[in-house]
Amino acid sequence: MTIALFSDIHANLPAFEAFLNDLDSRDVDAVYCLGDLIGYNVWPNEIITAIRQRKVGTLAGNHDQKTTGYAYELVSAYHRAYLNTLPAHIRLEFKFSAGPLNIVLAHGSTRSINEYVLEDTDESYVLGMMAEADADILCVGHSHLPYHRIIQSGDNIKHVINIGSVGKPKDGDPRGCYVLLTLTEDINVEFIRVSYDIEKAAKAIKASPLPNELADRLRNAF
Amino acid sequence: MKIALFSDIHANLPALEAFFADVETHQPDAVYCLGDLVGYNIWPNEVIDEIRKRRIPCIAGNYDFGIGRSSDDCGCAYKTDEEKALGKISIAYTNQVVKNEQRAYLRTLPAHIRLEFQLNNDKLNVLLVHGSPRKVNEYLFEDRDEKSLLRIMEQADADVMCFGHTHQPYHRILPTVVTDESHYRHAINIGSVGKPKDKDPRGGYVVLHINENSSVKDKDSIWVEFIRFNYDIEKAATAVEDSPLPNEYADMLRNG
Repeated sequence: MTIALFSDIHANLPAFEAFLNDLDSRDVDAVYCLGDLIGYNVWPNEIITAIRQRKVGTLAGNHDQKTTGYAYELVSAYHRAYLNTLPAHIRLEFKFSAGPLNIVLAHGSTRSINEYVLEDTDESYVLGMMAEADADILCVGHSHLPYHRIIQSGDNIKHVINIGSVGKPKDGDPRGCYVLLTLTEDINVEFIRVSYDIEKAAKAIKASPLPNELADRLRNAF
Repeated sequence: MKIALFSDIHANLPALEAFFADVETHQPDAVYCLGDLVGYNIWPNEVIDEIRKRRIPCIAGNYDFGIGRSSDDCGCAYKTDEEKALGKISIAYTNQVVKNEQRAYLRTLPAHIRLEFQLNNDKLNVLLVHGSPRKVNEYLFEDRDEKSLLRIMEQADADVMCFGHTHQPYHRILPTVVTDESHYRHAINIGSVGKPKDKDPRGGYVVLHINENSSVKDKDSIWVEFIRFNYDIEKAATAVEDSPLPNEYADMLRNG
């Protein structure tokens, strides 16, 4: 089965629509969102409406808990109640003939909603956290820096996947990013990049009380 | 937020289509399927396709586990020789009609999905299983000994445990004490979309309401809504009668 994972949309509607168009062109069996629907742009309600209508299993991100500041005060009371009841983690527990396999989805880390799990985070630290969470595959967002890290742990292989960001990439590639995780005999991780109308999103920032610098960050992905 | 939970469709496409129409009127924020997509009716491939098309997160039921592995054992606890004989026809028929791609989907479904909430600085774990956390084909009936049910939930670290498999819906609130504080656990059987067994032939499912104040400390802070919907039972029953499946399965649909 193929599972699509996306996160860190950050109220960027042009990027989100381009992502949805790309997603709908693919054979995907389940979709999860790893949080940070809001902040940094002007369309938080449109993003939340679409995610709720599609009934996507969604986690809370650290920005989804913020309430003060222009970008956060745009969120309607109805959608705020939704954000306040999002789960922190979702676990998918498989029982394959080769043995159990647990996929854990978290926004930052399994320990904290705003902890960064980066590609070069100390290996023994990551393994300790995954052992504590009983995770074989840990999928996170939050840093906007996508990677797939394979760590040998005794006889076991652990996977850490940062799924990147749909609406605010920071890895020098301004296109939106999401992941297709395919489970067959093997585990296959595919990073998908999606072009979108960056100028539309940048102009919306410039026309709003948000700092203009955020527009440049979209253009240059930092 | 509202989470719709449904299961035990058992290849009953008219019931599944009616469920999809009904659930839209409740506007849930998320939908999960708790397994047993196939068996007993003539549309196993169509039911799988409809669930995949909607990208509904789904766990494996005992029937899905069996068919996914082309097994002649669905893990069903038939009581009489007659039930066993009918069951054999159903699993042989289902193995014959299910296509490779759909079988591969059944084979890679997860066993459990766990939603870990952190509300009011407290944990609330919602565990979705087909039968029980211990076994895909364990029946957790409403009259299960309270201590046994609590032990199962404690071992699985589940505050809210949702399951299907028996096709008989109920919600039991189990009071307990954890580190000197009241702690309420919820055992929820979500019923069956396509093969109800509680004398009500309508399809059944659940909408679970979690709000900002939901807590293991307040037994009324989680609302479980049981929903029943009508569907074209005759269409499903007649299709069974026109197929190699035993006619008894048609009468069971009519009588719930």
